[in-house]
Order: sequence, then C-alpha cells, then structure tokens
Amino acid sequence: MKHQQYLNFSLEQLLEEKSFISWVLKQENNIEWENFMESNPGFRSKAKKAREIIHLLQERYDVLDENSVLEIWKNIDKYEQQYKQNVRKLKIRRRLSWAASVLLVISIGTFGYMYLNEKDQGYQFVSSGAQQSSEARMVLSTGEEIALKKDNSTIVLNDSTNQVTVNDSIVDLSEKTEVGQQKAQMNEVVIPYGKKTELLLADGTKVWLNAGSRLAFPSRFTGKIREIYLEGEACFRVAKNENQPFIVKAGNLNVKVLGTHFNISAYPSDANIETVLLEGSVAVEKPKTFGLGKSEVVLKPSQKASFIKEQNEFTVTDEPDLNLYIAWTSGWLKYDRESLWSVLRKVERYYNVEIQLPANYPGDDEITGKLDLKESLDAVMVVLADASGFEYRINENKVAIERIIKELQRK
Amino acid sequence: MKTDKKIWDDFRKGENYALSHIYFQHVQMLFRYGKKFSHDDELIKDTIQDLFFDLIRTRKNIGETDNICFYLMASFRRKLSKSIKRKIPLEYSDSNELIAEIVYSAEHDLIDKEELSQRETAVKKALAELSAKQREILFYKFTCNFDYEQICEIMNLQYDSARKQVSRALKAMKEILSGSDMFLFFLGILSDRKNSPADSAE
Repeated sequence: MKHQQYLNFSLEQLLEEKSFISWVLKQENNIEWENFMESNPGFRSKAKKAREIIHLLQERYDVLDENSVLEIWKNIDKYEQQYKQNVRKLKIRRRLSWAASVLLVISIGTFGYMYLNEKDQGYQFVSSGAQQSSEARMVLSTGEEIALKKDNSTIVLNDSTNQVTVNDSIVDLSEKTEVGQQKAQMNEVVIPYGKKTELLLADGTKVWLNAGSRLAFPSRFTGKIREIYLEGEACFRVAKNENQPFIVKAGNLNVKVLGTHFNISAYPSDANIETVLLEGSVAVEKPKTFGLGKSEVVLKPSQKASFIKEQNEFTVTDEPDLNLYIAWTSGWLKYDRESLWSVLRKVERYYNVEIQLPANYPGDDEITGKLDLKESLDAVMVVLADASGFEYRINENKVAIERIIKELQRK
Repeated sequence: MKTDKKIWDDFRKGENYALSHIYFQHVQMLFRYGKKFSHDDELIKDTIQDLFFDLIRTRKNIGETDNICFYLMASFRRKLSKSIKRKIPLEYSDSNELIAEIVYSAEHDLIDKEELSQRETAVKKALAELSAKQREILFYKFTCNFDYEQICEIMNLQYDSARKQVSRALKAMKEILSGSDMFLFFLGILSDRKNSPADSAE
C-alpha cells in the first residue's frame, strides 16, 4: 500500500504532500486514508494536526451571485459567436452553394424516413403541457425532474462528460444512460408562460425557448440525423454538421437544417406555424396528402414560411425586419403593423396572464412598437393602452380591457 | 471524468462544449480569488470576462496545460494587476505588486467573540502574525494545492524564499497545536461550513 511511506513523515512533510492536501480539501481517496489511519493510530494524531492546520488556514470567501455568473457567460458566449462569424465571413459564399446541394440529398433521404415515422405516430411528450404547468422544469429521459428556478434559466448539455449544467448546478447523466438502447431517449424542457430559457445542446446547437413551450431532445445525438421536437416557439442557431442533418419536428412539420439560424413559432393554439430563416438554408416539409402535391419549401435567408394548419398550405413571404422575430430572445417584443390581438396574445404568454377584450373591441387594429418584457406587466400595459387608446384593470392574473367611453373623457 | 489536459486541448481545437465547461467550473474560484486583491466587484467581473475574451481570441495559439485552474489564476492575476493600476494609478505607482488581503474564517469567527480561551488567543495571535505575502502563499498551497514551482511562477518569487515563508508560518501553527490537545474545539467551528473527513470518522 502506497500510504505506508507516510508512516514516518513529520508534520511538515505531510503538509508538503499534495495527495494529503487533496484528501483534506476534497476528500479524495477518503476510504484509503480512513483505513490507513484506522490501522495506524500513531499516524492518526499527526494527520489530525496537519489537517487542522490546513483548516485553520482556510480563508473567508465571497460567492459570485448566480445572475452575474450567467450575465458574464452570456457576454462570453456572444463574443465567441461574433468572433467565429468574423473568421467565417470569407468562407460563407462557398458554403451556401454546397449547402443547397446537400439539402437535396436529404429530402430524398427523408422520404423513407417519413414512411417509417408514420408508423410510430411521431413523438408524444411525456410531460404535461407547458400551458397547464406553472413550474419551469426539465424532465430527464429517466423520468427524473429538475426544477428550473429562474425566470430565464440556462441549460448546457456537455456531450463528452455526459453532464448537464442547469443554471449553476451540474447533473451527471452518465450512469443514467443505458448502453445499447435502440432509440435515443429524450429529455424534455417545459417552460410555462412567464418564463423562458436558453439551452446548449450536446452538438453545440443553441436554442432559445420561449414562454409556454416544450422541447424534447436526446442527451447526445447518436443516429444519422439530429432530431428534436418542439411545441411552442424557439430560435435555433444550429451547429454545422453536414454528416448529421438537424431536424426540428414542430406540429406535423419537419424543418430540416444543416447549420443556420432560424426561428420557429408553433403554438398549438395558433392557426399558423411560422418558420423564419435568418442565415443559411432550411427546408420546411409538411405532411403529404395522399402522396400528392409539393410537400416542402426551401427558404432563403430573410424569408418566412407560414403553414396554415387548417388548409395544409404554405405561404412564403420576404421579411425585411428579422428583428421582429428574434427580439424576444433578448427580452423585447417588437411588432410592426401587427394586430392588437396578436400582440396581446404574446403579452399573455410572457406574463402568464389572461387578457380579456370586450366582444365588440376592434382587436384587428394594427399597431407598431416595441415592449421591454423585463418591465412589469403594468408598465407594458400602460404602453399598449396609450397606443391603442384603451383602459385596463389588472386583477391577479387577469387583465380586463375596456374601451374608453367618450362621455367619461370630457371630465 | 476528463482530465484538465483533455478539456484544454478540446478547447484549443474549438470543441463547443469546452469553453462553457471551463467557465462554469472556474468562475467562482476566479471571483473568490479576485476579491483578495480588490473590493470592486465590477472590476473583478470585467476582468473575468476579459480573460475569457482573450482565451477565445488566442485559442489557436495558447499553450498546453494540465492544470486549468492554475493557468486561469495566473493569467487572471496579471490582468487584474493591470486593470487595478489603470483604475487607481496613484496608489500603485510606487510598486508593481498586488497585495492580497486574506482573512481566515477562524480569525473572523474570533473577532466577535468577547472572551477568548487561552487557545483561541494563541490561534488569533499566530494568524495575526502572518504577513500578506505569507497568507497568499499559504492560500495557493493549502486552498489551491499548488506546488512551489507554481507558487513561485504566479507570485514571481524565488523557490527558497517561498519555502522559507511556509515553514516559518507552519512553525507557529504547530506550536499552538502541540501546546494543547483540544482538537475538537476547532472542528466545532469548522464543521458548520465544511465536511471535514474526520468528522464522519469520529
């Protein structure tokens, strides 16, 4: 036993021994040390003195609060993305041209895939819907649940260490994933209204998940494709990997990607599923009707595909102001000639409230502006009330909107 | 578990996970370390951020390491000393040295106490006699578990001088402990905060 050599150590020598210090500080090899002391009582008192000296010399220290930890990380992450983009700029032109050719190959490949998939009816979320639950949480493939305590949580999956970092705490996944499973087990993140979260998936893909949304994803991407499931709204910056296409399944749409930045809004309660492309190239595929008709559209940057669920049809439009679609990832709500209805529905999601409009209220009126979602609900409602000329009352989680009655205004 | 060497090499190669891993594993230690040299939280946070910006910019050219904590702390100390000097040039104009202000938990706990036992008085006295420099060396040695080469590199010291400072400091500590056998006393103070391995064995 290697510990034997310590028997004749003086106190000073013991304090020069790194493995001894590691034991005192981090309980490294605790069992070996305990056993060794058990069988050598003479050594025990020496070790205790040495340990006490180390403990006496532990200093008082301060802990950096969680918000600052995340704030600094966001800046670092942003800096890295920008730095990478600057380096990449020169190469971009070349990549786009072959990106298109790779997409063609995938659409053929997915035909067979779709056929197989129709048999198992797609994916069923295990967790209850995001709308019903009030707590943001992550449900691991094992069924274990982790509460996401913050309004804006950060989740980082680490492929190589098989760990997931939730805010500051690290959860080990390694003993939980069984080897040789046929299908990748899915983890789910459920974000109720009033919250949002940022995730870094195992392949390096960044996902911003908006209020009232669910996302299912594996701990690591092992198959030929990287496949995740979305209900609600999310913005993706997909890590490029031409050998492993990335597919987002939202409602009954498939959005296939190679490495791009895009936003999908697919709330079950909304009539449309919208996909907006910021960079790169994606193909949006709808379910086929009797194998007839064109079933996918390929988007160019700054285009939006709206899938109208009822008619099973796409419309593609050019979108000059992409900021409208991704402002929420940094805590803003931007709207440009959008109906009051639609803006209020988003406010409902962000603040987890129910907004009631009187039956005869002109909710189709279009408004333009920007709301800071970091402000209180009241502050946001004041802005909207001024813009659209209504009065409102907030009562717990209900907001009642009333038309300003002309007769009352004169006083 | 991956070794520091592997994680660092992955970072240099541009693997996506490595940067966030390194950040989240070390940010608390860097903050704790920074607080020894400055009370300006914003300055410390800025310096941590800048340190990581530097790493991103130079990731292709930075050297190897098998001790990420040491690498970060050494670079952090250099950066912090520069930014402190920039902020308050007058105070530091005559010397290039950063001065660490390290307060021991035991010391702090004894301040509020009105009556000290003989042993507590001895502990307090012995700790009070440690100089700022000694405290910094002991911090690297018994909190970070660095070896003398690393301590000398980070503080720009001679090997012999570092060793001498440690043995002088330890001598006083040792005397207090051999003067009395009340070991349990301090474990009482410390076990609130730490899981000392011997507590479970007692």
